[in-house]
Amino acid sequence: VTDRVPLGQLQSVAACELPAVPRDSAVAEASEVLDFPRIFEREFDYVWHALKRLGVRAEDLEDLTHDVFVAVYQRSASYDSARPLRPWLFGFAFRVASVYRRRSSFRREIVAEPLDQPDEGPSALDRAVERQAADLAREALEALELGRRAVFILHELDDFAMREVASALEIPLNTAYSRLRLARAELAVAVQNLRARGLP
Amino acid sequence: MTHEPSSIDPEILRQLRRDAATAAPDGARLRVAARLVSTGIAVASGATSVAGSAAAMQASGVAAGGGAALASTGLAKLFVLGMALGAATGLGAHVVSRATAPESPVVAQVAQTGTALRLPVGAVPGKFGTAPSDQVEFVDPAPVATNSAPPRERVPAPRRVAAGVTPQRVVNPTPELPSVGALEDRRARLAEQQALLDGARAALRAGEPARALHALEQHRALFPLTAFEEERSALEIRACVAAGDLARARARLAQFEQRFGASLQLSTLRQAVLERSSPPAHVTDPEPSRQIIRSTAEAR
Repeated sequence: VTDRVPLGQLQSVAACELPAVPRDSAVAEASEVLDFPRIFEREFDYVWHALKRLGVRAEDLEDLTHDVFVAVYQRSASYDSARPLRPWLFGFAFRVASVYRRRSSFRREIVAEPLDQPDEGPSALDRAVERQAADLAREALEALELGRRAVFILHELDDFAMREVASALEIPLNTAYSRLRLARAELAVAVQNLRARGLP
Repeated sequence: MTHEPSSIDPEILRQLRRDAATAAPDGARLRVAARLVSTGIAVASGATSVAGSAAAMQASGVAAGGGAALASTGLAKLFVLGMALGAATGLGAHVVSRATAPESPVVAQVAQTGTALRLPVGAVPGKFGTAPSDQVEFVDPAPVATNSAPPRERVPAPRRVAAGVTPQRVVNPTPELPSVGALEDRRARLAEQQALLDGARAALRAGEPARALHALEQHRALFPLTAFEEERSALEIRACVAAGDLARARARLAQFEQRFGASLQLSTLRQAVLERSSPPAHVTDPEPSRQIIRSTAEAR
């Protein structure tokens, strides 16, 4: 189910709740702490897909990726270089996605891959099966509440320790464990339900 | 912590991981980079960008009053785009990237008049229009370095699913979207907030904690409820420490710990307060070597 909002009203909506771009001395300070250009270069795809997995619609991904990098730039002084970078980046993506979903009267949307997407399967049947499996996985993930989904993505898919997950999402460790447990249970139920509806 | 595998269907996990391994669509990186540059955030690195920027400016024949250079080397898709902002604004931006030959960048020129960024017809899609294919060159992708996750402890999967757990779907009532005017107003207030916090930060750096505290108090009076609470509180603690008001610093730190217990700034704030709280070693706990020197001197 998709609830479309006119383009233009949504653009950079998340930025409204995030700090504006720092100026003057703050710019110099930020650049001293973090190699922002390098992070942009290396982690663009990760941020993009983090937002996608957090349920941001395809047409809004570009705006929100921009917003995430603006926030990253502004808060670069808060980065602890002793910790892995990606959970920290994911934390920004999570907050931006949360605002976005609140503000855009979000409705769940399953974004299937375009039909002309090249697949690597040896046959048309294999491709169809693979495609259905991918759709099922995405739809099952979409069934998770956002906070639980964020924990699940960071721990189960990105392989980060729960300590890092809790730190990135700014939640107590026990809450992170609790969310992970619930996310796993919900995902299992969602997969079961989807398969009962005929998906592979 | 054990390393038991998750109870999740491995096929589901494989599909979800595969999704994340794909690259973002062509051009998205370029457009986002151009927008960052247009807001004053440089996404350039090192001498390459400077050289590329200079070459691009020379090639385009556009003078710029200074500015930010953007260059990307080793991007998934290398691109070439030059942006030169008008000298009158005192800002300039260049987005330059090339494959390997620095002397032959293909440049797309962007001119700016006033405060509005004006690109050639269709220069950059999204907010800026659509780029003509002869102005943005894509070449073969270079391998993108990825962050390898550190070893982690896997949380054991539960033996059975908790009873009564059902998937929760996000179905919010449709809220009214704020009007464009309201958003603009909000942006203006955010800019005002940022200016106050910038002022406090600058004062702190300049060694004027009293001025920093004044700016922060102003911010608190004008914006008692703010999204920048964490930032403001952190600055206030630092300012109190710098001003030597340790009692207030400790009180603020205690509040900060309660409110932002998971903040990434917490450890450095604690350290700042702690360092300042500890009296100099020679006052209360003289070093043995000094004691020895002193007693030797007294003996003489």
